[in-house]
Amino acid sequence: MDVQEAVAEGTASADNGEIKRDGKKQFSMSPGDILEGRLIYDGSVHADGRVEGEVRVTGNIDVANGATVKALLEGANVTLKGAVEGPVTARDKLTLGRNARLSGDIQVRRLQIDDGATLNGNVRMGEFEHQASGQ
Amino acid sequence: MSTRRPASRLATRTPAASGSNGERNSVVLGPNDRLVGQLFIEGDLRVSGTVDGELEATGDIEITGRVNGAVTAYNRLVVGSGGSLIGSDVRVARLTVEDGATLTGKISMGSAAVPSPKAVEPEPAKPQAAKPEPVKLQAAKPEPVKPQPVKQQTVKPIQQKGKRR
Repeated sequence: MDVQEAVAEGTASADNGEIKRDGKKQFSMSPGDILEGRLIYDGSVHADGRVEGEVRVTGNIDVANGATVKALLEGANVTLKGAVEGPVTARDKLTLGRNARLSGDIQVRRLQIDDGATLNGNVRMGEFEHQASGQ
Repeated sequence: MSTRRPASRLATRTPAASGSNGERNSVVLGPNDRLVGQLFIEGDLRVSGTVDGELEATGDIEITGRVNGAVTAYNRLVVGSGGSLIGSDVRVARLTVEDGATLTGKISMGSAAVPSPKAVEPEPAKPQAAKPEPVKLQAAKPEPVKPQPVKQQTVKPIQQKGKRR
């Protein structure tokens, strides 16, 4: 089981999970992985296993079915299929799959919720001034 | 917007009101319709017009128009791709939001967020079983018998005034 703790800002040392697709970085976790801390990442994240803390990415965030996330999530397109507890910001679109369980406030530009998903929290829709990367 | 009725709708356990012909009650606000105020529907509600106020339905609510106000759907809320819901308080058992829809407000989902139809009707006050007051058995205290002061009778000696002979 990989435990990656508190990655320093701007230096996502994702040697294990980092792969490149179409020239863009992707930080990919497996069901047994655990991420605790703050991850600022220039690319996309596939979250699986357990995530606690804060994840801000310039690309997309994809939370797998079966994953448990207690974290702040911020990305361009955020797709949830697992359980998430915490605020979510999608600069473009947030998608809740039918197995998604989200408890937290969300701020999105576009929103899609599939039948079967659960959402508890405040929803704000609109354009964003704030950009990712925690700057 | 899909107008096809999902099969699950027919299988819901929510006892939406049935019309005289056995079908569920369904109310439609068309594109040119407008409602300002409160609306409670025993059944399904479809809004393609404009609503400023509160909506509550025991079945499904489908919004393809514009709604500003609180929405409570005991079963399912669908916000269509062209729909807009600016709701201060949105309480639903199930929620579907199509891409392109506008949704703003506080969302509460699940059976806990929506009152069950039974709970809508005021429940009769449960008669509280009268608790028998525990009777304290007090041992009857025998009242102490006060000895009455016995009057002492002074016995006067019989005086013989004189001897009769």
